[in-house]
Amino acid sequence: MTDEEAYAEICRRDFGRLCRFLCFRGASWEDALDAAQEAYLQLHKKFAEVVKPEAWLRTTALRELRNCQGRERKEADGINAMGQFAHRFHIDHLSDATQLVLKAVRRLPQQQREIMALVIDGFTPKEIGEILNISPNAVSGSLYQARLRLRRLLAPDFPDLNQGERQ
Amino acid sequence: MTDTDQVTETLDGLLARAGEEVLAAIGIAVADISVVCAGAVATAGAIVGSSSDPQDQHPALSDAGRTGAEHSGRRPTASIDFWPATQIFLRLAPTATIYVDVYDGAEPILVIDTGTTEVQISPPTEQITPSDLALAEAFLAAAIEYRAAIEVLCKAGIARGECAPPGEGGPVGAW
Repeated sequence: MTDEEAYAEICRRDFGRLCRFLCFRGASWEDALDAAQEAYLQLHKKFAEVVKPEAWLRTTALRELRNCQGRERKEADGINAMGQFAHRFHIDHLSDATQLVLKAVRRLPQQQREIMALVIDGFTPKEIGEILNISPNAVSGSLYQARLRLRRLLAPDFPDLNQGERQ
Repeated sequence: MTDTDQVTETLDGLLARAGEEVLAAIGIAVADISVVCAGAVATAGAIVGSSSDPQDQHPALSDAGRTGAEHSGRRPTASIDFWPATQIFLRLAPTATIYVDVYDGAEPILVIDTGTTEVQISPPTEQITPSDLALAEAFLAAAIEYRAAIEVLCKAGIARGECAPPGEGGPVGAW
Protein backbone atom coordinates (compact mmCIF):
# COMPACT_ATOMS: atom_id res chain seq x y z
CA MET A 1 0.00 0.00 0.00
CA THR A 2 1.42 3.39 -0.95
CA ASP A 3 1.46 6.32 1.47
CA GLU A 4 -1.35 7.92 -0.46
CA GLU A 5 -3.48 4.80 -0.26
CA ALA A 6 -2.73 4.46 3.43
CA TYR A 7 -3.68 8.11 3.99
CA ALA A 8 -6.90 7.63 2.07
CA GLU A 9 -7.73 4.57 4.14
CA ILE A 10 -7.21 6.50 7.38
CA CYS A 11 -9.40 9.31 6.06
CA ARG A 12 -12.16 6.87 5.23
CA ARG A 13 -11.92 5.00 8.51
CA ASP A 14 -11.16 7.74 10.98
CA PHE A 15 -12.51 11.13 9.86
CA GLY A 16 -15.90 10.67 11.51
CA ARG A 17 -14.33 9.24 14.64
CA LEU A 18 -12.02 12.23 14.95
CA CYS A 19 -15.01 14.57 14.63
CA ARG A 20 -16.83 12.56 17.28
CA PHE A 21 -13.87 12.75 19.64
CA LEU A 22 -13.74 16.52 19.24
CA CYS A 23 -17.47 16.87 19.80
CA PHE A 24 -17.40 14.81 22.98
CA ARG A 25 -14.40 16.86 24.02
CA GLY A 26 -16.66 19.92 23.84
CA ALA A 27 -16.08 21.50 20.45
CA SER A 28 -18.92 22.99 18.47
CA TRP A 29 -19.73 21.17 15.26
CA GLU A 30 -18.03 23.86 13.19
CA ASP A 31 -14.91 23.80 15.31
CA ALA A 32 -14.81 20.00 15.32
CA LEU A 33 -15.03 19.84 11.55
CA ASP A 34 -12.53 22.64 11.13
CA ALA A 35 -10.01 21.13 13.54
CA ALA A 36 -10.42 17.67 12.04
CA GLN A 37 -9.84 19.00 8.54
CA GLU A 38 -6.82 20.97 9.63
CA ALA A 39 -5.37 17.92 11.36
CA TYR A 40 -5.86 15.86 8.20
CA LEU A 41 -4.23 18.51 6.07
CA GLN A 42 -1.23 18.55 8.38
CA LEU A 43 -1.12 14.76 8.38
CA HIS A 44 -1.04 14.76 4.60
CA LYS A 45 2.07 16.93 4.65
CA LYS A 46 3.85 14.79 7.26
CA PHE A 47 2.38 11.38 6.58
CA ALA A 48 5.67 9.61 5.96
CA GLU A 49 7.02 10.76 9.35
CA VAL A 50 3.99 9.90 11.46
CA VAL A 51 4.13 6.51 13.18
CA LYS A 52 0.68 6.43 14.83
CA PRO A 53 -1.60 8.53 12.63
CA GLU A 54 -4.80 8.17 14.67
CA ALA A 55 -3.11 9.31 17.88
CA TRP A 56 -1.21 12.04 16.03
CA LEU A 57 -4.43 13.34 14.51
CA ARG A 58 -6.02 13.68 17.94
CA THR A 59 -3.03 15.47 19.42
CA THR A 60 -2.95 17.82 16.45
CA ALA A 61 -6.69 18.43 16.41
CA LEU A 62 -6.68 19.16 20.15
CA ARG A 63 -3.87 21.67 19.63
CA GLU A 64 -5.92 23.32 16.89
CA LEU A 65 -8.82 23.72 19.28
CA ARG A 66 -6.72 24.93 22.19
CA ASN A 67 -4.68 27.41 20.18
CA CYS A 68 -7.61 29.23 18.76
CA GLN A 69 -8.69 31.98 21.11
CA GLY A 70 -12.40 32.46 21.16
CA ARG A 71 -13.19 28.84 20.55
CA GLU A 72 -12.62 28.08 24.22
CA ARG A 73 -15.01 30.90 25.06
CA LYS A 74 -17.67 29.23 22.95
CA GLU A 75 -17.24 26.07 24.97
CA ALA A 76 -17.89 27.96 28.18
CA ASP A 77 -21.39 28.62 26.98
CA GLY A 78 -22.50 25.05 27.36
CA ILE A 79 -26.14 25.53 26.49
CA ASN A 80 -25.51 27.48 23.33
CA ALA A 81 -22.74 25.12 22.30
CA MET A 82 -25.03 22.18 22.83
CA GLY A 83 -27.83 23.82 20.89
CA GLN A 84 -25.54 24.64 18.01
CA PHE A 85 -24.08 21.17 18.13
CA ALA A 86 -27.49 19.57 18.18
CA HIS A 87 -28.66 21.65 15.24
CA ARG A 88 -25.70 20.66 13.11
CA PHE A 89 -26.04 17.05 14.04
CA HIS A 90 -29.67 16.78 13.12
CA ILE A 91 -30.86 16.32 16.67
CA ASP A 92 -33.65 14.03 15.62
CA HIS A 93 -31.01 11.41 14.84
CA LEU A 94 -29.85 11.36 18.45
CA SER A 95 -31.87 9.56 21.11
CA ASP A 96 -32.72 11.31 24.37
CA ALA A 97 -30.27 9.06 26.18
CA THR A 98 -27.44 10.00 23.85
CA GLN A 99 -28.19 13.68 24.18
CA LEU A 100 -28.03 13.35 27.97
CA VAL A 101 -24.76 11.42 27.86
CA LEU A 102 -23.21 13.86 25.43
CA LYS A 103 -24.24 16.80 27.53
CA ALA A 104 -22.87 15.15 30.69
CA VAL A 105 -19.49 14.38 29.12
CA ARG A 106 -19.25 17.95 27.90
CA ARG A 107 -19.75 19.17 31.47
CA LEU A 108 -16.67 17.34 32.79
CA PRO A 109 -13.51 19.34 33.56
CA GLN A 110 -11.31 19.65 30.48
CA GLN A 111 -8.80 16.87 31.17
CA GLN A 112 -11.47 14.41 32.30
CA ARG A 113 -13.50 15.33 29.23
CA GLU A 114 -10.59 14.70 26.90
CA ILE A 115 -9.81 11.39 28.55
CA MET A 116 -13.42 10.26 28.42
CA ALA A 117 -13.70 11.33 24.79
CA LEU A 118 -10.63 9.25 24.00
CA VAL A 119 -12.05 6.27 25.91
CA ILE A 120 -15.23 6.50 23.84
CA ASP A 121 -12.93 6.71 20.84
CA GLY A 122 -11.46 3.32 21.79
CA PHE A 123 -8.01 4.31 23.03
CA THR A 124 -6.31 2.53 25.94
CA PRO A 125 -5.03 4.44 29.02
CA LYS A 126 -1.45 4.04 27.75
CA GLU A 127 -2.37 5.49 24.35
CA ILE A 128 -4.36 8.28 26.00
CA GLY A 129 -1.33 9.16 28.09
CA GLU A 130 0.76 9.46 24.93
CA ILE A 131 -1.83 11.59 23.16
CA LEU A 132 -2.28 13.98 26.10
CA ASN A 133 1.34 13.77 27.25
CA ILE A 134 0.45 12.63 30.76
CA SER A 135 1.30 9.43 32.67
CA PRO A 136 -0.92 6.35 32.48
CA ASN A 137 -1.46 6.68 36.23
CA ALA A 138 -2.74 10.21 35.78
CA VAL A 139 -5.04 8.92 33.04
CA SER A 140 -6.42 6.22 35.33
CA GLY A 141 -6.95 8.68 38.18
CA SER A 142 -8.74 11.20 35.99
CA LEU A 143 -10.79 8.46 34.38
CA TYR A 144 -11.93 7.25 37.80
CA GLN A 145 -12.98 10.78 38.75
CA ALA A 146 -14.68 11.28 35.39
CA ARG A 147 -16.73 8.13 35.79
CA LEU A 148 -17.81 9.13 39.30
CA ARG A 149 -18.84 12.55 38.07
CA LEU A 150 -20.69 11.11 35.09
CA ARG A 151 -22.62 8.79 37.40
CA ARG A 152 -23.71 11.73 39.50
CA LEU A 153 -24.66 13.78 36.46
CA LEU A 154 -26.58 10.98 34.80
CA ALA A 155 -28.13 9.28 37.82
CA PRO A 156 -31.28 11.44 37.88
CA ASP A 157 -32.14 10.20 34.39
CA PHE A 158 -30.73 6.68 34.65
CA PRO A 159 -31.74 5.17 38.04
CA ASP A 160 -29.58 2.07 37.47
CA LEU A 161 -26.56 4.28 38.04
CA ASN A 162 -27.70 4.88 41.64
CA GLN A 163 -27.28 1.27 42.75
CA GLY A 164 -23.78 1.70 44.21
CA GLU A 165 -24.93 4.73 46.15
CA ARG A 166 -27.64 2.76 47.96
CA GLN A 167 -25.20 0.29 49.53
CA MET B 1 -22.60 -9.49 39.47
CA THR B 2 -22.20 -6.84 42.19
CA ASP B 3 -24.06 -3.56 42.17
CA THR B 4 -20.80 -1.79 41.37
CA ASP B 5 -20.20 -4.07 38.40
CA GLN B 6 -23.71 -3.44 37.19
CA VAL B 7 -23.35 0.32 37.50
CA THR B 8 -20.07 0.16 35.59
CA GLU B 9 -21.71 -1.91 32.89
CA THR B 10 -24.65 0.49 32.67
CA LEU B 11 -22.37 3.51 32.35
CA ASP B 12 -20.15 1.77 29.79
CA GLY B 13 -23.23 0.80 27.82
CA LEU B 14 -24.57 4.35 27.83
CA LEU B 15 -21.22 5.72 26.68
CA ALA B 16 -20.82 3.11 23.97
CA ARG B 17 -24.33 3.67 22.58
CA ALA B 18 -23.92 7.43 22.67
CA GLY B 19 -20.60 7.11 20.86
CA GLU B 20 -22.15 4.98 18.13
CA GLU B 21 -25.14 7.29 17.71
CA VAL B 22 -23.02 10.41 17.48
CA LEU B 23 -20.72 8.73 14.97
CA ALA B 24 -23.73 7.82 12.83
CA ALA B 25 -25.06 11.39 13.09
CA ILE B 26 -21.68 12.76 12.01
CA GLY B 27 -21.81 10.55 8.95
CA ILE B 28 -25.19 11.99 8.03
CA ALA B 29 -24.05 15.57 8.62
CA VAL B 30 -20.90 15.17 6.54
CA ALA B 31 -22.88 13.53 3.76
CA ASP B 32 -25.32 16.44 3.73
CA ILE B 33 -22.51 18.95 3.42
CA SER B 34 -21.01 16.97 0.57
CA VAL B 35 -24.29 16.96 -1.31
CA VAL B 36 -24.76 20.70 -1.00
CA CYS B 37 -21.20 21.46 -1.92
CA ALA B 38 -21.46 19.15 -4.87
CA GLY B 39 -24.55 21.05 -5.90
CA ALA B 40 -22.66 24.28 -5.74
CA VAL B 41 -19.97 22.87 -7.98
CA ALA B 42 -22.53 21.70 -10.47
CA THR B 43 -23.76 25.19 -11.24
CA ALA B 44 -22.36 27.05 -14.19
CA GLY B 45 -19.06 28.50 -13.19
CA ALA B 46 -18.97 26.56 -9.95
CA ILE B 47 -19.87 29.34 -7.59
CA VAL B 48 -18.86 29.79 -4.03
CA GLY B 49 -20.10 33.01 -2.58
CA SER B 50 -18.52 35.10 0.05
CA SER B 51 -19.53 38.52 1.16
CA SER B 52 -17.19 41.47 1.04
CA ASP B 53 -18.30 42.13 4.57
CA PRO B 54 -16.49 39.71 6.91
CA GLN B 55 -19.44 39.80 9.27
CA ASP B 56 -21.69 38.59 6.51
CA GLN B 57 -19.71 35.72 5.08
CA HIS B 58 -21.83 32.90 6.33
CA PRO B 59 -25.19 33.93 4.84
CA ALA B 60 -23.54 34.66 1.51
CA LEU B 61 -21.94 31.27 1.50
CA SER B 62 -25.24 29.73 2.38
CA ASP B 63 -26.86 31.50 -0.55
CA ALA B 64 -24.29 30.11 -2.91
CA GLY B 65 -24.84 26.64 -1.54
CA ARG B 66 -28.58 26.92 -1.91
CA THR B 67 -28.30 28.29 -5.42
CA GLY B 68 -25.99 25.49 -6.41
CA ALA B 69 -28.22 22.92 -4.83
CA GLU B 70 -31.33 24.25 -6.58
CA HIS B 71 -29.61 24.42 -9.96
CA SER B 72 -28.37 20.89 -9.64
CA GLY B 73 -31.71 19.58 -8.43
CA ARG B 74 -30.22 18.47 -5.16
CA ARG B 75 -31.73 19.02 -1.77
CA PRO B 76 -30.50 22.19 -0.15
CA THR B 77 -29.77 22.08 3.55
CA ALA B 78 -28.59 24.57 6.10
CA SER B 79 -25.34 22.74 6.55
CA ILE B 80 -23.49 24.96 4.14
CA ASP B 81 -23.83 28.16 6.07
CA PHE B 82 -20.62 28.14 8.02
CA TRP B 83 -17.11 29.05 7.18
CA PRO B 84 -15.40 25.64 7.09
CA ALA B 85 -17.76 24.65 4.32
CA THR B 86 -15.67 26.83 2.06
CA GLN B 87 -12.72 24.66 2.78
CA ILE B 88 -14.75 21.54 2.21
CA PHE B 89 -15.92 22.95 -1.07
CA LEU B 90 -12.39 23.63 -2.17
CA ARG B 91 -11.48 20.11 -1.24
CA LEU B 92 -14.36 18.79 -3.27
CA ALA B 93 -13.12 20.50 -6.36
CA PRO B 94 -9.39 20.03 -6.65
CA THR B 95 -9.13 20.71 -10.33
CA ALA B 96 -12.29 22.62 -11.03
CA THR B 97 -12.53 26.21 -11.94
CA ILE B 98 -13.87 27.80 -8.83
CA TYR B 99 -15.15 31.29 -8.90
CA VAL B 100 -15.13 32.92 -5.54
CA ASP B 101 -17.46 35.82 -5.80
CA VAL B 102 -17.28 38.72 -3.44
CA TYR B 103 -20.75 40.13 -3.28
CA ASP B 104 -21.99 43.61 -2.73
CA GLY B 105 -25.68 43.12 -2.27
CA ALA B 106 -26.86 40.74 -4.96
CA GLU B 107 -24.15 41.32 -7.54
CA PRO B 108 -20.73 39.72 -7.52
CA ILE B 109 -18.13 42.44 -7.75
CA LEU B 110 -15.01 40.36 -7.74
CA VAL B 111 -14.24 36.91 -9.05
CA ILE B 112 -11.23 34.70 -8.64
CA ASP B 113 -10.68 31.73 -10.83
CA THR B 114 -8.70 28.94 -9.25
CA GLY B 115 -8.45 27.21 -12.60
CA THR B 116 -6.36 29.94 -14.11
CA THR B 117 -5.17 31.22 -10.73
CA GLU B 118 -6.14 34.70 -11.72
CA VAL B 119 -7.97 37.29 -9.73
CA GLN B 120 -10.44 39.07 -11.94
CA ILE B 121 -12.45 42.14 -11.20
CA SER B 122 -15.76 41.63 -12.85
CA PRO B 123 -17.06 44.10 -13.65
CA PRO B 124 -14.36 46.68 -13.03
CA THR B 125 -15.65 48.81 -10.27
CA GLU B 126 -14.54 51.25 -7.67
CA GLN B 127 -16.40 49.18 -5.11
CA ILE B 128 -13.49 46.79 -4.75
CA THR B 129 -11.70 47.44 -1.48
CA PRO B 130 -8.33 46.21 -0.24
CA SER B 131 -10.15 43.82 2.07
CA ASP B 132 -12.04 42.37 -0.91
CA LEU B 133 -8.79 41.71 -2.69
CA ALA B 134 -7.22 40.25 0.43
CA LEU B 135 -10.18 37.94 0.86
CA ALA B 136 -10.05 36.81 -2.72
CA GLU B 137 -6.34 36.21 -2.58
CA ALA B 138 -6.73 34.26 0.63
CA PHE B 139 -9.30 32.01 -1.03
CA LEU B 140 -7.02 31.52 -3.98
CA ALA B 141 -4.03 30.68 -1.81
CA ALA B 142 -6.11 28.23 0.18
CA ALA B 143 -7.35 26.54 -2.94
CA ILE B 144 -3.86 26.06 -4.28
CA GLU B 145 -2.43 24.98 -0.95
CA TYR B 146 -5.14 22.41 -0.36
CA ARG B 147 -5.10 20.95 -3.83
CA ALA B 148 -2.92 17.94 -3.06
CA ALA B 149 -4.92 17.03 0.01
CA ILE B 150 -8.17 17.61 -1.82
CA GLU B 151 -7.34 14.98 -4.39
CA VAL B 152 -6.60 12.44 -1.72
CA LEU B 153 -9.77 13.24 0.20
CA CYS B 154 -11.76 12.81 -2.98
CA LYS B 155 -10.18 9.43 -3.57
CA ALA B 156 -10.86 8.50 0.05
CA GLY B 157 -14.54 9.13 -0.41
CA ILE B 158 -14.73 11.94 2.15
CA ALA B 159 -15.08 14.38 -0.67
CA ARG B 160 -16.56 13.20 -3.89
CA GLY B 161 -17.36 14.17 -7.39
CA GLU B 162 -15.85 14.83 -10.75
CA CYS B 163 -14.81 18.31 -11.54
CA ALA B 164 -14.57 20.32 -14.71
CA PRO B 165 -11.04 20.82 -16.05
CA PRO B 166 -9.26 23.99 -15.04
CA GLY B 167 -10.54 26.97 -16.95
CA GLU B 168 -13.77 25.33 -18.13
CA GLY B 169 -16.03 25.36 -15.13
CA GLY B 170 -19.65 24.78 -15.96
CA PRO B 171 -21.91 21.89 -15.11
CA VAL B 172 -20.10 18.73 -14.23
CA GLY B 173 -20.90 15.09 -14.50
CA ALA B 174 -21.84 12.37 -12.14
CA TRP B 175 -22.05 13.62 -8.61
